[in-house]
Amino acid sequence: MMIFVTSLVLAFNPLVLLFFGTESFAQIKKEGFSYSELISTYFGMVIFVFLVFGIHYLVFKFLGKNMSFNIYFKLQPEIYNFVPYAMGLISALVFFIDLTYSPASSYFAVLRSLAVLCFFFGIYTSLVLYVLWIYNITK
Amino acid sequence: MSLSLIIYYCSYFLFSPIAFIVYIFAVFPVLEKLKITSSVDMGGNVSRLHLIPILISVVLVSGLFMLFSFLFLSSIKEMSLNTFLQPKNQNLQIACFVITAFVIYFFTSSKGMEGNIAGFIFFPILVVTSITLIVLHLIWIWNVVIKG
Repeated sequence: MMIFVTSLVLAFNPLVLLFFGTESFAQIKKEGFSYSELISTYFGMVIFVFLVFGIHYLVFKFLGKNMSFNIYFKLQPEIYNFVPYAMGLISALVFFIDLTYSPASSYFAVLRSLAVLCFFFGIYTSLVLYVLWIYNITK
Repeated sequence: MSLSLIIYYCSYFLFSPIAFIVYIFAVFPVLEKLKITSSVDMGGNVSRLHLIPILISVVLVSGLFMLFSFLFLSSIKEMSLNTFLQPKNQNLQIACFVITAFVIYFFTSSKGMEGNIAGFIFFPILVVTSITLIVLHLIWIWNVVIKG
């Protein structure tokens, strides 16, 4: 149960949003918004998280590192670990508003560009924490 | 501060390829929406970008990123500003900035830039230089922040 709840948060990792979300976002923008499409995209991202962790688990097992699968879903308490997810959530929220309401206001255009910037910074923090995580797992 | 470091940081703030990509995807659409003239349509899928908005945006985004990364990396491991401001592989990074400077030159030249050339030739160049800088930065983080 904890693994499932954690994966709902991990789906907002900007790297996951980048790999999985951008194409879905473009498709929804083109074909029109529907909640069912959005929910199925979100759960697709959750499954993607499991898939990525599964691949990591198999790769580490092949390299001789036997670890419990639960370890991938253990969120460390340090505050910097939550930065990528906070940035992913903020940008996902803005993109969601863009998809549902498509506001034409110039203020929203500024907000959207800030969300894109936030998204890029979130990708950066995710990459850094990923490298840190690999180091902690393999040392 | 040595001359090479000054040249490095001038290039970093003015010609960062990642900041230029951010300009294209995040800042340029907003400028168009706000009806601030940032490009000239020369017809036949050729357009020219204005240099000043690009430079202002690149400087701001690079500065913001530098501040953000210093704060974020300091939260992971205590480090002095001096350590943070000592880049590695300066020559390779400066080469990436020089390439970006040429790309910006072509985007802003008086003859304009044809859309297909921009998309198929110059944008991949920007992506390659960006990936190079990201990899170098991650190597620096590995050596200084994580292992150091």
